[in-house]
Amino acid sequence: MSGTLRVMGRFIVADFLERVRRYGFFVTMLAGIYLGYAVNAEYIVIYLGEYRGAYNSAWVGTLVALASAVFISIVGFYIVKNSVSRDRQTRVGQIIAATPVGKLTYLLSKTLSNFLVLSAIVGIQVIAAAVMLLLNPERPEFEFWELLSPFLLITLPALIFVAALAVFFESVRILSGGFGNVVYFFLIEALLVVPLVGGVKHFDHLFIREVEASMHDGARAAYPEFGGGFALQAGPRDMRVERGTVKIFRWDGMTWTPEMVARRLTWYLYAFLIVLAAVPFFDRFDEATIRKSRGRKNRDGPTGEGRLAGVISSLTAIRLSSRFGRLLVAELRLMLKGLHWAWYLVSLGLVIAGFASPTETVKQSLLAVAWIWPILVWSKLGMREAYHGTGQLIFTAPGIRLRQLVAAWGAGIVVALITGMGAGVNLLMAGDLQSLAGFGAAVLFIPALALAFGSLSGGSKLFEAVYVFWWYLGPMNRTPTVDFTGMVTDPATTTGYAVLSLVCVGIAYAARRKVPGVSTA
Amino acid sequence: MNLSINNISKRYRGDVWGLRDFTLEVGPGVLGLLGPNGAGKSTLMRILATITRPTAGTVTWNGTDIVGSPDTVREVLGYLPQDFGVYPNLDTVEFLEYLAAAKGLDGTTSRKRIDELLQLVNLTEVRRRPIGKFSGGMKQRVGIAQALLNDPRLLIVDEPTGGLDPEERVRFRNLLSDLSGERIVILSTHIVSDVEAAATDIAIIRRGELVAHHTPEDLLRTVEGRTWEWIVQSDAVEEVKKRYVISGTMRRSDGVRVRLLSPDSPHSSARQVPPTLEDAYLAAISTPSAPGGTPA
Repeated sequence: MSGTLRVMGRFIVADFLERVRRYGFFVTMLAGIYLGYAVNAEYIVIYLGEYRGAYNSAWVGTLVALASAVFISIVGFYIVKNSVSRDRQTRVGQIIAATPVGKLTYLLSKTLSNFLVLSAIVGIQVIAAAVMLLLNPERPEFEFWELLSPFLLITLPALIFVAALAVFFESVRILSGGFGNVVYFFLIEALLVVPLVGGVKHFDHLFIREVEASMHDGARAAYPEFGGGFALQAGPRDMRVERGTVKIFRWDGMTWTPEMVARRLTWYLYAFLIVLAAVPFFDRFDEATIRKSRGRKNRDGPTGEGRLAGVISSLTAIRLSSRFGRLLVAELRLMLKGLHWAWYLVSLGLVIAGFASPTETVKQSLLAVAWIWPILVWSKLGMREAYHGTGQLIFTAPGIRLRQLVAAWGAGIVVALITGMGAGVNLLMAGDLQSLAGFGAAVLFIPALALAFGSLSGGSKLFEAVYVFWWYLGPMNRTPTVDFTGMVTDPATTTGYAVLSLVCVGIAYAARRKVPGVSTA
Repeated sequence: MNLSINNISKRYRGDVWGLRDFTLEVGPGVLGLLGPNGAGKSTLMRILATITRPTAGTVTWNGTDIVGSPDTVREVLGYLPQDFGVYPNLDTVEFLEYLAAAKGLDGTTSRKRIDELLQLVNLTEVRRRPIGKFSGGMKQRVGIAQALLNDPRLLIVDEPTGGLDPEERVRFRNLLSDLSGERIVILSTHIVSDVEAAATDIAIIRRGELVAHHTPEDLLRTVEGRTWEWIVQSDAVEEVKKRYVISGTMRRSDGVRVRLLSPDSPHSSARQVPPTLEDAYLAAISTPSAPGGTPA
C-alpha cells in the first residue's frame, strides 16, 4: 500500500512539474489573475434581482470561488485533458506500461495531478481575491476563514470532479479527441444550468442552490420585501451601484452544517467512482488495441515486407511550378481525408436543409448548426505541423511560410462555404445582403481563428474550447456582437469580423516564425 | 557548387552552446559528419536546412547567405531530419504529392517522380495504404523519398539509418554514393560504418566544435602507427581502459584482446595493426577539451 502511494506521489509530482513549466500554464495563471481583477472591477458580479451583498470577505470569497469554479468547469477541463495523451504521444506511457503500476493507480495519479494543476490556478485566485478585498472601498474587515472557506468547500470539490472527468474522457477512446471536447462542453453546460432551473440538488457540483438560498436569507433579513432572484453574470461593468438602483445588504457567508460539508466531500467520492469507471476503458498504452480496432476496415494491412531498393536508374527531371491551386487542393485533401462517410452525409443534409428551409429558420438556427458541424475539421488548422511533427519537412520548402498558411486558410474557407452553402444560397435568393455580408465575414473568420489558435497552441483544444463557447453565446444564443455569423449583427460588426480574420491570419503567420514542432530553446 | 559555413555559433538558453565558431567548406561529394550524441550535429543540420538561425556567423550557398535568403537553398534542398512525423490518414502518394506541392513542383513531373521514388524505396505495393499503419523502417523510406522529391543539389540526411535493417543500411549508403556526383550530400551520424562506405570527406564534431576535417585516407593517416592489439588478462582490462583509448575488446580463451590507441607500444606483447576509421574517429574525439554539454 505504501509502495503504491509512493509511486502515485512520484507520478503526481513529476506530472505536475512537467505541466506547470509549460507556457500554457503561465497563460492560464494570467487568466486566473484577470478573473480576480474582473470581479474587483465588477465585470463579474452576483446580483439577487436589484440586491447584492456588501463586498466583505464572505461575499468576495464566495463570488470569486463560484466564478473560479465556473471558469475551471468550462476552461479547466480543456487545460488538463492532456495528461494521458501526452504520455501516449511522448511514449513515456509505454515505459510506464512495462512497470507494475496498475491502471487504477495510474489514473488516480493523473486525476490528482490534474487536481493539483487546477488548484494552483485557484490558489492564485484566492490571493487575487484577498488583494481585491484589501483594495475595495466597501471593505469592512478581513476575515480569513470567510474568504477561504468558499474555495475549500465550493471550488475544490468542483475541481476534483472536473479533474476526474478529464481522465475519464481521456481513457474512453471515442471521447479522447475533439468529439469528446464538444461533448464535454454540452455536458458541463447541462450541469451548470440544471441546478439553476430546479434540478436534483445532488448534481449541483457548484453548490449554487445552497449559496443562493443563504444569500436570499441574508437579503431577506435586511430587506423583508426582497422578492428573490440570483444571477452570476459576466459582462460590461455594472453601473447599478453608482446609479443607486441596487440595495446592498450584509451577508456573513454560508453556515456550513456537517450535512453540507459531507455533501461537498461526496464529490471526492464521485471523482473516485468516475476514475474507477474509466479503468476498463483505459488501454494502458497498448497500441495493438488501437491498431486492432482501427484495422477492421483494412484487414490486409502492410506486412512491412520489402526493402529499400537503393539502386538509382534515371529519375524524371522535375520542373518547378508556383501554382497555388495545387497546394490548396493538397491542404483540402489533408483536411478531409479520413473523415467518416457519415460526416459527408450530415454535411449534405445541412446543405439541403439550408437551401430548402425558410430564410428565418436558416438565420435563427440552421446556419449555426452548419458551422458547428465542421469544428473538428477546422480545429486541425495550424496545429498539424507541430502535432504530427511534419514541420521540418514542410518548412524547408521555398516561400512556404505564407503560401502554406494561405492555402490552409483557403481550405478552411472552402469547408465553411461547403457546409454553409445551402444557407448562403438561401440568403442570396432572399436578397438579404446584410446577412450575406455577415455570412462572408464568418466564412473568413472561423478558419482564421482556428489557424491562429492552432498555430499558437500547437494543438486543437484551444480552438475547440473557445469556438464552442463563442458559438454557444453568439450564433446559438444570438447575442449581438459575439454572433460572428452576422445574423443578428450590424454592418460594422461584420466589418469587424472581416478585419479580425486578417488579424488572426497575421497572428498565425507570426507564430510560425519558428518551425512548428522544433525545439530551438 | 559550394556550401560555406563561416564561424557559426548557436547559443541556447542558459548559456549552453550547440555550436561554437564552426567553420567548414563543403563541395560536391558525400560529407560524413561524425560526432557523439549531443555533439551539435543536429543543430548544424538544422541551421543548414534553414530551420534554425545561428546566433553568430554566416552560411552561404554559392556565395548567397542562406540565413538572410533561405529560399536560395530551399529551392535545391532535400532534407531528411532525424525525427519527423507523417500525416497518418494520407497514403504514401498523397503525402508525397502534398510535399511536392509545398516544394512548388510541377504536377505532371512530380507524379512521375513519385512513382519512381516509390520504386526506389520499395513502397510501390503499399502506395495506397495510410502511412499511419507503416512500421518505423517504412516511414524512414517515405522520408528518404520525400528528401529526393525535388532532385536536390544539397541533400542533408540526419541520422538516416536508424529505422533501417542492416541490409537496407548498406543499400542506403550505396544510394548516397550514387547520388553524390553533382550534389553535396551531408550525412550526419554517430555510426562510423555508415560514413566509411559512402563519405568522400569526413568532419568530426565534438561539443559543438569542429575537431577534424579530412578525406577518409588522411583521417586514417592521423592514427597511422598508433593502433595496437594486445591480449591482457580479464582482471587487467579495467586498468588498461584507464590508461588508453580503447576502440574494441574481444574475449578469447587466453584473455581479452584489446584494441587501443597509443603513440608507443603499450607492452612488448602488443602488436601494431592497420588503423580503421573507427580508430581515427575515437582518437579525434578523445583529445581533451574544455568541459560542457551541448544539446542534440
